[in-house]
Amino acid sequence: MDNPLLARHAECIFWLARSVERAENLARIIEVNETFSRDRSGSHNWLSIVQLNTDEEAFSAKHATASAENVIRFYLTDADNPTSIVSALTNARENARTLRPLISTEMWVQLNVTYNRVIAVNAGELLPGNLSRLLTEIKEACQTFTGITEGTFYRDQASCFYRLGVISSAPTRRRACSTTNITS
Amino acid sequence: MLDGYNPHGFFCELQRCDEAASLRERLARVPVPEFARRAAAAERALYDLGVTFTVYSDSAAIDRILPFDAIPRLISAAEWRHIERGIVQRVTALNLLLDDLYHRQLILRDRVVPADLILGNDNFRPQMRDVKVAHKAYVNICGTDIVRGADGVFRVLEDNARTPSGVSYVIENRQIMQRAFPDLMNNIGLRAIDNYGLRLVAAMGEIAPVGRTEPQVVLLSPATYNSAYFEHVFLAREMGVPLVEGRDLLVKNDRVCMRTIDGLAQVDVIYRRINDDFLDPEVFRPDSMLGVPGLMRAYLSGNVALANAIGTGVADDKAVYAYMPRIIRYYLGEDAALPNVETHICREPASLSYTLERLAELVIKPVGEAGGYGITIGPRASGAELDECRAKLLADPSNYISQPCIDLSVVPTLVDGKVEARHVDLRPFAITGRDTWVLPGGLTRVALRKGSLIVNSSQGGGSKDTWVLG
Repeated sequence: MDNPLLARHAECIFWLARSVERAENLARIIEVNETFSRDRSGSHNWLSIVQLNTDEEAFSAKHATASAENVIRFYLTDADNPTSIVSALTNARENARTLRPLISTEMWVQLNVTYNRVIAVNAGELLPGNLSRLLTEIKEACQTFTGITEGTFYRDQASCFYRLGVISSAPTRRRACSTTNITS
Repeated sequence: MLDGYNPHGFFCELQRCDEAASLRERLARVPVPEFARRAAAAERALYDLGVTFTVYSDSAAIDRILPFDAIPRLISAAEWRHIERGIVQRVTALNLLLDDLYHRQLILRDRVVPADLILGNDNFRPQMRDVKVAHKAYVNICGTDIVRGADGVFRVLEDNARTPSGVSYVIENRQIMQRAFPDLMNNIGLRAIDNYGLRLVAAMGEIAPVGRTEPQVVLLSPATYNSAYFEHVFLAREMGVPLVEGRDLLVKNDRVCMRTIDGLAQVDVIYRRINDDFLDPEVFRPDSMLGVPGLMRAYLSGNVALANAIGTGVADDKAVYAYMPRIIRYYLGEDAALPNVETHICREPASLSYTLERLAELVIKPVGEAGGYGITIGPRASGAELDECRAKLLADPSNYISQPCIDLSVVPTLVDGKVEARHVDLRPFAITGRDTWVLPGGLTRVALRKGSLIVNSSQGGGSKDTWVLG
């Protein structure tokens, strides 16, 4: 049956796409910083990520210094920070829950599993030697979601709003790439 | 795997079913560890598929599955014919009762049911007086709770004529069994249940306002935070209709419209999973955020159909339940094919004194509560609990009924690597549009705790696949 798309569902699809994109981009930014971005003395400059996200005010309200530990926690596991990976994935999952009558079961399961993985991250996984592995896992989980969506989501009005969400978060991705160039 | 299984004198649905020989042989060939391994995989699949109900606490959302037991509950062809006939009869009587109560009220005039029991009932909706309901089908979706005692007689424990839930588990349980245990069910003559969604959407079409050729059906849910949200998603998908919330709908010129990206689209039939109270803040609870202001206006103008109709709650009231055998005889001139559990209506003085004398043997239920709340099970209650119950009964006798404690029938159930007897009930689902159709089988709930008679999911209950043969 050809049902019209509810306006509320269109909005949810947009934010679902944007949130997954955001989580993936953020994971990439942190990984790039962790791996490549060092200043002249050979240590990481973590404040650049805060600046990139224009989060200076929110960050300084919680943390005195932009240490690696503080910035990584702020962007990975801090559920109070609306711009963190865990917040993005929580948001994506809540939207997906609302959209379950529209999206494929595989899309829902992938998000659900990813969300459950991220809320279970422990402090040890954020340590220097382990962080990269975790970030790769998050990136791949988001990319898997994108692939499942590509393969299972109907090409109808709803998918247009999905594309819109993806495209609208693209500026963040470009900024991520250019920051990498500048700092390296 | 059935070696050593002992039903301890209770009525066993597997041992006593005369068509179960083939299933018993198949089960006997499977060693318990292999069965347990496959059952665990099946349960895991339910979790992965998100067949969950959600428990929201202050800080977190917890997805739980309704525990699933893989040993099916069996119903023979003859048993099912009997149950099916009883359900159709009962739903027919419920609809005739509602039509009468909201029109001529002959049953009250003839004093078959006390008038104050109906007219003073919170779930009686005066707004429905003289409103025409298509095919007189008030209860389009009905769930009837049936139990079987030691004598093997099926009896109705409760009618659920408002927004009964659980049917999604029936269908999911079957799909899981088809994946995990195809060898148990191949060529055994199992009745299919996969057309429920199509039957439901067809019935919704039958009750649509006259003249709407391709009626727009929607399912109205109280939203994602409702514990039955999974079921709403499941049914909307099975029916192929939009799943909407109150805020997606508005009423314009007494017509219900939903907000779509193409503008407003008229809605003709609403399968609502929201109780009457919350449907329209202009008429019912003004604080409801779940409903649609003006919905009743559209409904009373005949521009939209609701399933179930408004005001069905008066018919599944526990006090009215006690009169069901008389109601069936009044409208249909027949005895109830499925008898009630013997019920004492405490508003009647003789029943009250009977109940007070045998408090420790009886189950005492408040008439206005659902979900197993406020029930005192005499044989399991402490002295203090019985005293409290006695005080409540004396203070407000007409708020209570009492029933004997039924030794529910049992089905072999896998518990901690062993096969043990556990008590079950049965909730068949009936769909009514022009006529009534009953989904073969229904939801078998099982009390997983040893000796427990309470099958509610909130109290350690699970479910089983229900197999109707023939």
